[in-house]
Amino acid sequence: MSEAALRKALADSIVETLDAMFFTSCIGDPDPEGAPPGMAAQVPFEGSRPGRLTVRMTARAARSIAANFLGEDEDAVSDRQIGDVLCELANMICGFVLSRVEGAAELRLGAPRIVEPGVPPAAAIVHAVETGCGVLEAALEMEGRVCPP
Amino acid sequence: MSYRVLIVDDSPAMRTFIRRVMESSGFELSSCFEASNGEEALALLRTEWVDAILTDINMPVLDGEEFLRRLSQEDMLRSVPAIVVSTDATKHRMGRMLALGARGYVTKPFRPEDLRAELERTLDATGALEAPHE
Repeated sequence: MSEAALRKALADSIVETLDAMFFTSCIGDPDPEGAPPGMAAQVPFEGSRPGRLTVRMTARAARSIAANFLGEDEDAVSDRQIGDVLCELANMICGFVLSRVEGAAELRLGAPRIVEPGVPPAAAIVHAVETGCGVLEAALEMEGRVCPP
Repeated sequence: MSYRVLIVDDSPAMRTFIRRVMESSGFELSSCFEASNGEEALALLRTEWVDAILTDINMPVLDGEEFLRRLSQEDMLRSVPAIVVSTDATKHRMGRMLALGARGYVTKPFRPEDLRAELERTLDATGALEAPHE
């Protein structure tokens, strides 16, 4: 699978997942002056092409999408619930992307977990969107992916 | 007409979401049970009858695949229809779960109406839509 195809799958997965289950629209590219991601969840995967997918969000965006997902007011959502929802979001985006990768039958998702936001490695395929409440960024690291010449 | 449904998922947030989707789409639930893995679900099913099960695949302790296998081995439980709700959209995995006895398969992300439609289709196919629990 080409890097362009992986990049498109990652972008599609973010738009579709946020729209279908988090009732959140992507409103464009992130503001370069906006707040940096303050939370992150990561899903490892194993198989013929192991790797991991990390979703980073601003704290405000994470609270907003958690409230949407759970049908609660933002003030009523606990930090634990926000973490749980962020893990579920990362899990869905990762599953969506990997389902479109050749040989996906051999890939097995691990359990999502909260990690330090950090910075995506240079080799990762990264896609970021503005949600209206802050940025959401997904970074896919995968062994053996085809890189452009 | 109301139904008894069991949601099996290790994510409390996903269990809440599924329950909310069913309630908000007008699906009447007389009881909505929850379990965080297949082992908990099997224990619950030995004491509570349900019209349908919605189960994830990747769970600790007892995953969805083994849960369906064990379900099919118990005389009292094998007729309870199970719908898989999973991030895994590969045909390979879908085929395995259906071969283990799953009556339906919904991939995440899904739209609320998709889950409701799959649940209604499954209940209809098993006759539960005509003879719901009061």
